[in-house]
Amino acid sequence: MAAIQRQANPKHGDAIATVISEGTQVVGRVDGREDLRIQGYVEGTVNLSETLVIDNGGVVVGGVRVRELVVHGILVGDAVASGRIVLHPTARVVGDLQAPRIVVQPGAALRGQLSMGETESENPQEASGGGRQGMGRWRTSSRVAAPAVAPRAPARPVRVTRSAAARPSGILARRTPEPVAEPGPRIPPQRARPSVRESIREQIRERAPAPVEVDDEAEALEAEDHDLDHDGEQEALDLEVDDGIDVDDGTITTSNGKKQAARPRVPARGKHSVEG
Amino acid sequence: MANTVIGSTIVIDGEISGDEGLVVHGTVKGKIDLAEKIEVAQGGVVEATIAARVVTVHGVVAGDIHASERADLRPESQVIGDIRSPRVLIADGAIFKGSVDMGNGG
Repeated sequence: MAAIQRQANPKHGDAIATVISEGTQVVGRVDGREDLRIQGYVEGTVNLSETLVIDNGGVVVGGVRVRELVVHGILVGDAVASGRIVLHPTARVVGDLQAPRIVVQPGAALRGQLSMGETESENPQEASGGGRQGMGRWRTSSRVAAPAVAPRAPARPVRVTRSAAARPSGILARRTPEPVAEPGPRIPPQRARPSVRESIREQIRERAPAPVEVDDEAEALEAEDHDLDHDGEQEALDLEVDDGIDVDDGTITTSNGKKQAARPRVPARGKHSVEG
Repeated sequence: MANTVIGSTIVIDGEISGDEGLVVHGTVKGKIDLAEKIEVAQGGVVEATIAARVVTVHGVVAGDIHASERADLRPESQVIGDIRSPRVLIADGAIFKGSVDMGNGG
């Protein structure tokens, strides 16, 4: 097949200008030994031993390695030219350019590094590998940015939990119940109720040794009768919550209702069932 | 010049798509997906799956051809692959190996 291709050369020769026209997209590698004019979209590497012209409207995304590069359109990628690179006024280029001679005409937009001189031989494979480092100058930044953002997101919740967990043991333990209770809403409501109760119990334990006895009593009573346990704990709650005293006094049944609603946990249930 | 032309020394390895005509004098490997005509000129080599409205082959194609309107194998052509098209023309002298499906045109 290669032979056939060679046969065609004398017939068509250079008379045929290779054009990738406006409505055409090429994704992949383009190699050649003749001029190439791009009016469409090419994504990938372009390797030519002749001149590459990116016309106005043409877009090349990828590394370019040619003898001469003329840009009227858009190039996103590094370019290495053994001859020269000319950026015309309408050119938009993001990438590093390397050529003995580089011309940037007024109006051309360029972001990237330029290196002039005989750099061609130093990086023979510079433009051949589409996604390698050099071309990644802008991509690299995006890659760097991505991981930088990622750790931040998990860090926030971790801090919250740590601080919340650390406080109870500290001097600020009194205030802890509130912060501990607050994170409750994050978690399903089930957790909020016990956390409030536990926080209150903690308050009781920390304020005075007496509440500890109450707890002991409660446990002891609990073994005999859970109703007594309710009373004991309810008293503790009343002592604890100043506002709640009046309310509880006014509506005892309500408080009992709350208790029983919240109570039915493992021990209570077991006893109920046993008694029943 | 509305057509895309791939010159004889050009080798494209990848995918070509578009809504304009394509003339291949060079080599294309991979996949070609066009809404228009594709002509594989004499000397042109396509090792790719071709989908286009009209496919005209003077050169060499190794790969399936799906032409929604017409597939035209000219005398010098060599085609290895299946052809799916409502109209298939195979000229005298064309070399073809594969199957032809002219049903519905797909």
